[in-house]
Amino acid sequence: MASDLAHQFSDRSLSSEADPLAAVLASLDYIVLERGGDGAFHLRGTAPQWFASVYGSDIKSAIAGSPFLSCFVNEIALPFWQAAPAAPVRSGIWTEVDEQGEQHFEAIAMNSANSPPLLVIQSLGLRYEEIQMLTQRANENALEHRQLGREVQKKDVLLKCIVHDLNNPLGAVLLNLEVLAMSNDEEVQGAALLALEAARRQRSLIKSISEVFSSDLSRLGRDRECAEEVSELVRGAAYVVNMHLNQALRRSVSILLEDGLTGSVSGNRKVSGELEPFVRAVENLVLNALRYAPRDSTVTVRIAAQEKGIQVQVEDNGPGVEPNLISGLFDPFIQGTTNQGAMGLGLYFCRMTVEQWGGAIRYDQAPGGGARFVFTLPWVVTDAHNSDGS
Amino acid sequence: MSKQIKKKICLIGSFGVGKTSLVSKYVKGIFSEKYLSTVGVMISQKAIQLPDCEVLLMVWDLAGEDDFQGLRLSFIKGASGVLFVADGTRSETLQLTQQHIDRLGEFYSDIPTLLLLNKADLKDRWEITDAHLNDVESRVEVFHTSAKTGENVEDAFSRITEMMISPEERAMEAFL
Ligand SMILES: Nc1nc2c(ncn2[C@@H]2O[C@H](COP(=O)(O)OP(=O)(O)OP(=O)(O)O)[C@@H](O)[C@H]2O)c(=O)[nH]1
Ligand SMILES: [Mg+2]
Repeated sequence: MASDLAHQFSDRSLSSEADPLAAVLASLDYIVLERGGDGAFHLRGTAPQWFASVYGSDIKSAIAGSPFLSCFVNEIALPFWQAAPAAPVRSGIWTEVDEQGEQHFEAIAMNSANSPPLLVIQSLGLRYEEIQMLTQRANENALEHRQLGREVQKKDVLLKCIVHDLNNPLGAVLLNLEVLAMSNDEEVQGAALLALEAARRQRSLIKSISEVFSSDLSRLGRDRECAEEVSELVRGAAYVVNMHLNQALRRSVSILLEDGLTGSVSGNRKVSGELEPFVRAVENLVLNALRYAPRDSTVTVRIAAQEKGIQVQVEDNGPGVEPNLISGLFDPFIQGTTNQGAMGLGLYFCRMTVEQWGGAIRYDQAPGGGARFVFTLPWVVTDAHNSDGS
Repeated sequence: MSKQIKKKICLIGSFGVGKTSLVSKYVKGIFSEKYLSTVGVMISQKAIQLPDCEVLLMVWDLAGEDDFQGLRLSFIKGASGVLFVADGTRSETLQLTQQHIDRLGEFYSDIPTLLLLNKADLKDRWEITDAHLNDVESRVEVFHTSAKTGENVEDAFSRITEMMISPEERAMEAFL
């Protein structure tokens, strides 16, 4: 390419004795035309090879014969030369089609202080391919972006419809089950309580589906900045444990909260997080543990301080997670072989919740072989804390 | 043999709406699924034989850009007709066209215009509401076209040609 250019350059510098600059321009595939007082154009220096092959040798008919060039000269360049501003005006790219295929050009109208108005035309050659590719890529990206946006929107609408349709009858189901649960007939009462529990689980699942899959990303950014006192979170965890004590007892499972924070120095520090989603995340893990906990076992919720933040563990003595499921455990819609489907989104919800606060969640095998879910939330460093701690 | 009348038509519309495809279908009878973005301006020609004269259409296919001013507006100079093109599957391209129609009206209020609502073969994916369509139709004559099937492509170009050539002009040409 470079040697090619040098070759052309030497060729042309031979043919242009008078104006070496014009020869350089020609070698760069520019043609420079000068507009005389009579309005006719005259070649300045050398014409590059493309010019004759596209437009022939007669400059006047060349311009008249190109609808684009004559439009540019008459409608844009002429008023420009008359007004004589300093900055040149460009035509933008245009394409001429002939037997050799497509060729691409750009024209520039210029004024110069000591010479007549100039019309410079450049053949773009390979540079056109680059410009075309960039334009194409930008347009395709914009189209793709739009397409994705539409898909997300459709998904949101669908989700809202599903959530709405699932939630509506559930209200009535819960209300009637609560009435049945007050029955004097023990058998009816027992069945109603079981059904009630399942219906409540369903309601919380629906709630987390709509939260996790809502594409309102502005929420995410905001949550990163929220901070909660550790003592509040301990209270939240205790609330979850108490909420599910009875349910657990019916299966002879006990739930234990090991609180390593209350009363400690860390008790009034803050971590990144927010009470309500925190409670739902812990509840998801506890419900999950209860589902797998065998009779006469214990589900343990542990909260402790660490160097970088707090750690929350939820542990059961069940069978643990099947090894082949561990890697995708926190992806949406993962299902163990024995669960009833509620797990599909619960762990994904936990992950999204914890990660949006800058925390992390993982699965460990509990020492006795059960499942242990562990998540961490980072300390929020406040000025108050810095001055306290020093 | 009567004389040939030259007429310039410009196609204006967002990128990807099918301007190049419409021209290619009309001039060469070819449609390609592959998208090749136009850069700048590309001019095609097509001769049409009318009963009393021959018209040579110079069809200016302008790259789809969302703004419509400066140079692009200058290229309209000397045009006898403007075809606005929007993509029925992307409602925002129609909104943009409405702005372009207003803008053209400010500078060249008496150029005949048509709106080609393209990709009519994908009507099940169109995003244009009837209300929107009625609103547009009250301002400009609309053709539902498909560069893919050819639906209404000839008709739209014939219609704009008819609008561009006044009866006097025809009579004149026939007389000469
Ligand atoms: N199904 C369908 N596809 C079409 C139709 N017209 C154009 N397309 C497709 O839409 C894409 C864009 O078409 P183009 O004709 O290149 O669009 P354009 O308006 O010239 O785009 P720019 O040059 O970027 O301004 C291509 O993939 C075409 O195949 C149509 O009527 N129906
Ligand atoms: Mg195009």
